[in-house]
Amino acid sequence: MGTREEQTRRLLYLSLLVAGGTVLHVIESYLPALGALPGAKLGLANIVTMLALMAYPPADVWKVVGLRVFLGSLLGGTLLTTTFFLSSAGAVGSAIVMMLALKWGKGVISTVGISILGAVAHNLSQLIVAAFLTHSWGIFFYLPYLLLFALPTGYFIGILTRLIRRALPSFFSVESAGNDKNQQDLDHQCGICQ
Amino acid sequence: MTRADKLVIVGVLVAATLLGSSFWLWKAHNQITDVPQVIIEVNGEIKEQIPLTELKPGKQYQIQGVLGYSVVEGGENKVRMVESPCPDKICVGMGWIEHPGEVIVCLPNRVVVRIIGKSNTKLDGISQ
Repeated sequence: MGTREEQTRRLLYLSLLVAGGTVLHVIESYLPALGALPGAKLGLANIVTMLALMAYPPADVWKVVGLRVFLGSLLGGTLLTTTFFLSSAGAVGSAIVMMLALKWGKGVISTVGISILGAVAHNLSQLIVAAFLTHSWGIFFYLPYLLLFALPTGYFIGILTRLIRRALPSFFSVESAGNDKNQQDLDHQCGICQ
Repeated sequence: MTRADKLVIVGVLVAATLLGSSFWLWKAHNQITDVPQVIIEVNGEIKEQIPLTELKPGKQYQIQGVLGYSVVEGGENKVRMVESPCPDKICVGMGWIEHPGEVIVCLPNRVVVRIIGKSNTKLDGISQ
């Protein structure tokens, strides 16, 4: 765990991540639907999940993700509605996939790739839950379009995450510093954000 | 972007294309069943199956039932029973049916007219 100061820092940073995620969640719900596709969206809140994944162990990431969805839905007025279950499914699904991608793809896959995988997982888990809620598998016809859509949004979110992390160096010196070093070296190969 | 990133992007593109084209093919293949079908049964046995869109106003179908001939008449994408040998004529009184799931039953003559197919209800609610 570390010293008292480190613990306080961790609590503070996790709280900041939850707060940021909640705000992004709410802002996102006010954005008009992108295209005519249900479920197609930017995935701004995924930025927070990724930041948490890069600096904290899975247990802390789940706290951030869970609290973000709960508070975001509470403030957005969608708590315990269909929207809430869809949001939860998307958030949990993308967190699981990004967690695995970060674990297995360490040193190989960059933030952008992880973000795209997260976006795809988000769509997939939402569609599965939506299929259960509506008792119709027909909505899987949307999947190809959503997959295509996940590419630009995932790319954009990945770049954003990278830029934000670069602006917050102290964030990532807390724990698992080596883990992040690796990731940053990889990201330096990216030409766009240099 | 690393090689793994490009692999992910290509993988997603390939998956989307494969899924999209297979869905499209599947849909094209099953085009016929997308149109609601009018089914006329006697004693549970299918006597006639007509796509709802092929019904023309005034077009009649004579169906041999248990008591005699029932006459089913088409309309503009709808169907009704116009004549029946049964005593109470409830089936005739039911009027037109046009939506999948609707049924006209004539118990005495054992004739059932039903419309099957996908109901065209739209998705409701917003996903976020």
